[in-house]
Amino acid sequence: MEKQTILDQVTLGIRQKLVTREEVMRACELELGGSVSKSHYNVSKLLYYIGGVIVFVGIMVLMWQNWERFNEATQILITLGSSIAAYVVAVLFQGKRQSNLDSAFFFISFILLPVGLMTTFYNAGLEVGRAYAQSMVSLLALATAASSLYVFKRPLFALFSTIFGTWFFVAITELLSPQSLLGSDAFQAYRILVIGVSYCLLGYYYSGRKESSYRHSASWLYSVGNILSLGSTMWLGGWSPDQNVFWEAIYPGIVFGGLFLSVYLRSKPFLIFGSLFLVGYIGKITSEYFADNLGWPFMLVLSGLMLIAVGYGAFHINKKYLA
Amino acid sequence: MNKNLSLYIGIAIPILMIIGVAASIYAPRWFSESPRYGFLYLESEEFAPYDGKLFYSVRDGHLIEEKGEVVKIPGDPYPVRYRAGKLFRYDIRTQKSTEISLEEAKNLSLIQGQRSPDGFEVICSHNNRGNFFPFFDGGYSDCSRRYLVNDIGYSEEVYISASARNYYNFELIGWIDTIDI
Repeated sequence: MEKQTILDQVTLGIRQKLVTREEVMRACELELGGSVSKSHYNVSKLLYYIGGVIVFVGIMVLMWQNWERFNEATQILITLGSSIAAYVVAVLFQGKRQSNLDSAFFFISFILLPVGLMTTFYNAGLEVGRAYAQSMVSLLALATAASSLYVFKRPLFALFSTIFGTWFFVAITELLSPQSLLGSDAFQAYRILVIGVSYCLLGYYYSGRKESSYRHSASWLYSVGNILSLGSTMWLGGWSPDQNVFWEAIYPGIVFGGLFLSVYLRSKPFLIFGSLFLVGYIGKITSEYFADNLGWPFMLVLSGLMLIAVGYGAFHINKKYLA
Repeated sequence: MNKNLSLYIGIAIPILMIIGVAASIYAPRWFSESPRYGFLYLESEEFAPYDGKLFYSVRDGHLIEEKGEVVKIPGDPYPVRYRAGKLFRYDIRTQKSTEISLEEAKNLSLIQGQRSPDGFEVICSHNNRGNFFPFFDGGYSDCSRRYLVNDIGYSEEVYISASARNYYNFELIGWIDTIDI
């Protein structure tokens, strides 16, 4: 029987409600074997991660309630020891990839790892709140995640590498710059801008990977990256009379560049956040420079019309290029 | 853009910023000599009017005690009278502050002024937007940490007494002439 004939009959059966989509999917699974349906897969994975978070919370509550009672060795054993134990269990479960149980234990291991390291450093006499200790903890955690990524090549390790890498970046720049020429305010903004741009670039890299987990991560990285970079550049523009003319002048270019990228990358986060920040910029500029000249009511009318234009533009781009 | 290239650039940008920050701190040290003068400072008592209180002055390069009302010298923005309190000597070689007695302080040769003869001054950590285009100055002082800085950009933290880590409790009296070192 020709393939097209078979497919036509399946289509006819669905149209006449003789078979459902789930029945067709089930037939495929039975014949091809193995994998559970996508919805079941996502629910079990979600439950694994929720369970991991609850385990983490349980250990934190145990430590918080009994910190004074536990000696140093016990404190380290419960925190860092649990992290190492979970990692070992995850490695042992590696063979059972289809159940994704190893992901759950890797997740527990990595969310406990910073706490374990800080507990160890605290008991070694270091001031864990200071930048130098934070740099060491984050660097060790980053090294662990990055080497795990290299060995096991799992998207989960890429996520933790990104998180620990960001933490290390913030800590080491804090450590190095007590009297930076940029000062604390602008320096914070530039750090956030660098993180935002890096996230967008990492998102672009992940968007090209085959695994769906990487592509989902790309969407999150695009979203967070847009918020950080557009937010920090808007902050750098300042507010009249202390505004920074350079950043205020180029900000529209940055926002429209993001909107253009939404088409090029077919990315909704770029469109959504570009539109939102453009709206915010319009409100900022009109209230900064036009409120006194044109009067508050006229400025509000003007802003409202511009917001309508932005909204229509976003809708049009989404419909034409992203839908 | 090649996707691997985006990964490399995404990782390189933060690394470059770290290198840039480190360079902005340590590069000026290549072009500037380290500070050579220690200083005498006062951890002053609770803020109170000067009148009728014992206070310190510097005359002819030495510390003296005086009583009476503060007299400001016209055109000089800095007070020439200091409230009484604990005296500390900051040793530039050991980078430590040591409390000294009034008699010991009187034996020091002092150079008055906010800047040392080699161009350094003691400032609070400043929370600002930056001092070069396209950034604008502003913000506030954080005096829990103080620094010896010069115009080239050399910066070195100074470790002063704990209770003097406050804008109003710390007063620089004078730079200790190197003849005493």
